[in-house]
Amino acid sequence: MNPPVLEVRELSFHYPDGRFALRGITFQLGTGESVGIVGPNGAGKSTLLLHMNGILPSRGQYEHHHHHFGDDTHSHTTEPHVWVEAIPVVGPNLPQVRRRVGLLFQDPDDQLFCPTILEDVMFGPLNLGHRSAVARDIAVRSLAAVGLGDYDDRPPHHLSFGERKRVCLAGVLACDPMILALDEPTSNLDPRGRRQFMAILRELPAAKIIATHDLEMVLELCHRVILLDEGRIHADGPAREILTNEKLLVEHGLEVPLSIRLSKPAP
Amino acid sequence: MQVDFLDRYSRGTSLVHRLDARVKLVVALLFVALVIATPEMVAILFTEPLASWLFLAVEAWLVVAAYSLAGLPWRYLALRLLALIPFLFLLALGIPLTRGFETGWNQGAQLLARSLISLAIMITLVATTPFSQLLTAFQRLHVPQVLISILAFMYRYMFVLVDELDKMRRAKLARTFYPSLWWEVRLMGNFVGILFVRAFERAERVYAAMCARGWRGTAPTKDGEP
Repeated sequence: MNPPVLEVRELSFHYPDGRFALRGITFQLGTGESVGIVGPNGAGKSTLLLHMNGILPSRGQYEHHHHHFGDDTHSHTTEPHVWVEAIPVVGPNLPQVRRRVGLLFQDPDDQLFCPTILEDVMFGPLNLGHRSAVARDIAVRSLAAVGLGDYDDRPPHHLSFGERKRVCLAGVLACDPMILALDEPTSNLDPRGRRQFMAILRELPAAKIIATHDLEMVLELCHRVILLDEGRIHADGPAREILTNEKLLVEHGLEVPLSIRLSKPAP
Repeated sequence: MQVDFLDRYSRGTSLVHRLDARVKLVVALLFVALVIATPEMVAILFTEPLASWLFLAVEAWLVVAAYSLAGLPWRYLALRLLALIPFLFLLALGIPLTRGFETGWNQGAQLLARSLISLAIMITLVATTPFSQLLTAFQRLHVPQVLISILAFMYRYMFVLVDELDKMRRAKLARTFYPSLWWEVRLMGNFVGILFVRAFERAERVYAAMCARGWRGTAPTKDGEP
């Protein structure tokens, strides 16, 4: 296997109200590897992605709460639980980590916060310290890469949902990440938009962590699947193997993808 | 999303549209200052009480000329001015009531006229300049970055909020069978509360998205034109 670009070891997280979102997550990701994170709603998929570049746990997360949740023992240390290219994801390293990990949010309106899309795509490169002429070049190229080359001065609210989603991806790609953490990249897209988006993702050399309910996409894009439920990893292995295990999938609120069901001969 | 009440006409090609945003901004602000100061300035130079009306008429004509040069529909201007008239009317009415009826009526009417002209100036400016260009103009005029960021976020998320309100209203209509005013008012309260909570939570997600792309609390320098 390739050397890991991302390592997660014994990662646990609970929200200030005591609800556990992640319990003892451990896995590794090789260079250029694609892994699908699947699991029911509320399994902790998004929360896990937010840990990939240190958005969670936020500073002060643990300062204002009391411990009274039954038998779950846990400690609040500042020890790292995530490493990106062997760099521990902790306070002082965050700028380095964040330029390596690109995070795509589920709702494009959360991610597009500039008055025009060109400015929005330039936001990352400018924060990386590029001069504005260079940042503009990068932004124009990134927009072209997602097929929106001539859209640069349009305001985000004039774009369709699919277009906005692709602008978000351009904004992430402009930072030239080696790991992409994608939260539901295909949700709410029409079939053509979904196809386009998947085609773009397939061409990207970066390693990908894709949290999704779109199991068909996982079959097409990922060789490996991690099944998450109630904050725990219940399975981690080859996509075909896990996505054909009907008992396991149904037990965790999922179902066997239609394409597999149809290709299997009737018993 | 189809809300577009601010930028609908700002991408035209008329002379007014093509003028540099900085020039338009400075001229508009100076013009507003002039209009506001008109009665006082005129009173220094002329004793004739109707003189200031003459000046106001000339100023009004200038705005209207600029607006028609931009080739925008009159309905657009009229609707926006009409929306504000009730508030202005109350303000103007307050003047004869507090300053006495002898000079008050005249002053009140002038207040109304000055406000309408100033508003027409700003409407013309905003309707002929894309918002992002206005922001760049502010930036070049060295307005503090914080204020510009606030304006930029306001512009960006205004549409999202209006859209959310619209969806809620539609969802309400779909399940309203016996409308009543009291019910309506209570629901409005709910809507405002929900909008506030959603905006608050969205703010956190937006901040996370900014951090994810390297934001470290200070604005990057943008010297390029959007």
